[in-house]
Amino acid sequence: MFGRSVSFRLILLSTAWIVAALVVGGVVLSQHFRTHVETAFDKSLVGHIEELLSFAEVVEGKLGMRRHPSDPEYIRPLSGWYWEIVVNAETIDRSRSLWDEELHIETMPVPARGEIISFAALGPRGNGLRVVAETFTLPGFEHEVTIYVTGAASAIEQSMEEFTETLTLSLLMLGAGLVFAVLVQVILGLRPLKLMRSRLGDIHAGRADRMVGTYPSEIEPLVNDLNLLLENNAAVIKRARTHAGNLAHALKTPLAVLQNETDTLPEDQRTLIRDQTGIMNEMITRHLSRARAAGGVGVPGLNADLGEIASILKRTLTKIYGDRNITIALVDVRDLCVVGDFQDLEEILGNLMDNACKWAETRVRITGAREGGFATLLVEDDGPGVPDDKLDEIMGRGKRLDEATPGSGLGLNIVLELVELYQGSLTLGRSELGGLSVRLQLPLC
Amino acid sequence: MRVLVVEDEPDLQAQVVRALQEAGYSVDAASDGEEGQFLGDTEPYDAVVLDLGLPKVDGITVLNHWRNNDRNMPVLILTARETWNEKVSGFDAGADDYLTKPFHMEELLARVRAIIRRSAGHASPMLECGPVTLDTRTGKVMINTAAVTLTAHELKVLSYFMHHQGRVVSQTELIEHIYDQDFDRDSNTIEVFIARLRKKLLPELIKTHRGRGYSMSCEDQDT
Repeated sequence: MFGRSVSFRLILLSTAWIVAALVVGGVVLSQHFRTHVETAFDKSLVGHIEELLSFAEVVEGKLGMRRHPSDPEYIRPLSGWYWEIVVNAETIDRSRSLWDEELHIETMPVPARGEIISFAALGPRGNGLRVVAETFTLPGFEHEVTIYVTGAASAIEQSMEEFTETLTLSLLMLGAGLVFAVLVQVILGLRPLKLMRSRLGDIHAGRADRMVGTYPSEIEPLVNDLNLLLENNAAVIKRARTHAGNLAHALKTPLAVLQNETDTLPEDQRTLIRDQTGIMNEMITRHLSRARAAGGVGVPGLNADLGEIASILKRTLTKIYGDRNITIALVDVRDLCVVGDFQDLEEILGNLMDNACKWAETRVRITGAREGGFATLLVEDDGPGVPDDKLDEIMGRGKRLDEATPGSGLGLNIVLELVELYQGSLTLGRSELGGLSVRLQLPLC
Repeated sequence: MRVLVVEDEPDLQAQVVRALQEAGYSVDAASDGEEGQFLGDTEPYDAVVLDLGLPKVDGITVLNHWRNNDRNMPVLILTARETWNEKVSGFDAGADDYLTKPFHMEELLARVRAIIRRSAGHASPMLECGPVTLDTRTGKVMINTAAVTLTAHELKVLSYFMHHQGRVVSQTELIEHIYDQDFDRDSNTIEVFIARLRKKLLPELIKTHRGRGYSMSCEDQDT
């Protein structure tokens, strides 16, 4: 799931980059700082070398120290701060702090004349030392003199520790700040996409028929195209409807002429032509309904209020069955918004309510309900009803149970196809009013 | 009873006109919406059979125009389009009934009869006036239980009176509803028909209101 989220990818990549950059930066900085601290440390040790050199004197070819440096660190025993003056690998003099230990100068490198070297070594008690050594020639002294001066490496390490602590803390804070900035940037930057997604959701749920709102220039063309596509879709449906209507008109008028003309024919010929024109009419109706319906299914943005449709149809059916005194009652049908094309839903409900009116004695009742994600309409009448074993049969193709009531019987069959296209269901049963009850279920929007 | 048929397909128009004429109506026909609308505006029809898919002006527009101008004659819509959407818009425009093509002519005749009857306020297809009954489905006329034979024109006059019982009907109105547009109208023939009806049925069935016309009043008749 995360692999498909743009936000997650952006955040993950940015965070990886930030962490990598901070780690590298931290390492480089601490290396640099160590070099800097060591250089400064070495410089102070070189100062001590120069002090020692100034105390050295050559008397009658022999090297001696006028006095020792006064720095107490060179006096405190085993302080880590030591010095030793070496001539020909022999110690001429050394600091009091060495006590009775010695620097193992035989393990240490010897600088060439005029050269200063610095390195790390281990002291008498195994403590880390920083050593600086320099080799001189003194006037009146034939041998080269090497002076070793050491300082406790712990001083360097302590500085490094303090520095690393501060550095890590700063880098962590910087990292957190950057990651936060990335989060904010991704959320703000991708907000139009999120908005687009919720608008698309509205369209799918049928709450809107186009994408509204302003979008950044990067996705605006996409939104415009989408709107165009939606409009085009609607236009295609409308055109298909018109074509279907025109075709119906073009075919059915000649059929009417043909059918009426047969009235002048003898009985046997009349039956044949009537049957055939009847079949043709049935086929036209059936396939046109199907073609019309198929156009509207799956198109996002379509929805309709079943209650509104029911009251429109009630008005019309009251006129159609005006002289039969049929009362059509609508119960709880308000706020039943379902996904689907208005005309298709009108067709479904129109056929169901018309059937109910055809069979009813005096009463037709439409009861609405919401169950789960479905809107349910119960269409009932107080007519003769249908025996249980015939219930399946009347859903069949163009079947009519009673020739006495006009209508091709195709109604329910077409309704069933439409309902299934819209992922709904149709169940027949016996009504408490006495007649047929048809239970229509369609997904709510 | 005078009926207007507005249908653009000539064969179907001819069939409907013939069937209506055979059923005893005076029939005018129009082949497009414009002509149909004009006839409906100017002539007093007792019923209109109106196709929806018409050239020039479509049926719904024609019907809307009539209803907005207080032309309240009953209208039977005839159409190939049988979706509920179209039925609803037809009825909302003011249609009284709706018939989809193809149809059986008997059904069209039954529906025309029914809308005429309903618009005159009669619930039953059997119209009664005292001892006189008229079966609008068959055109059969009886006095008590005896059948009476009437000519086509006599039947038209009687039918008009039966539909408009108790109302004074002028001679002009009668002529307009009995003859179609093209008929050579002569007011004297009306007097002849009324005289014959009085003779064949009851002498006091149709009263003359001098200078105003005639009326058929049923309360006075003895049963």
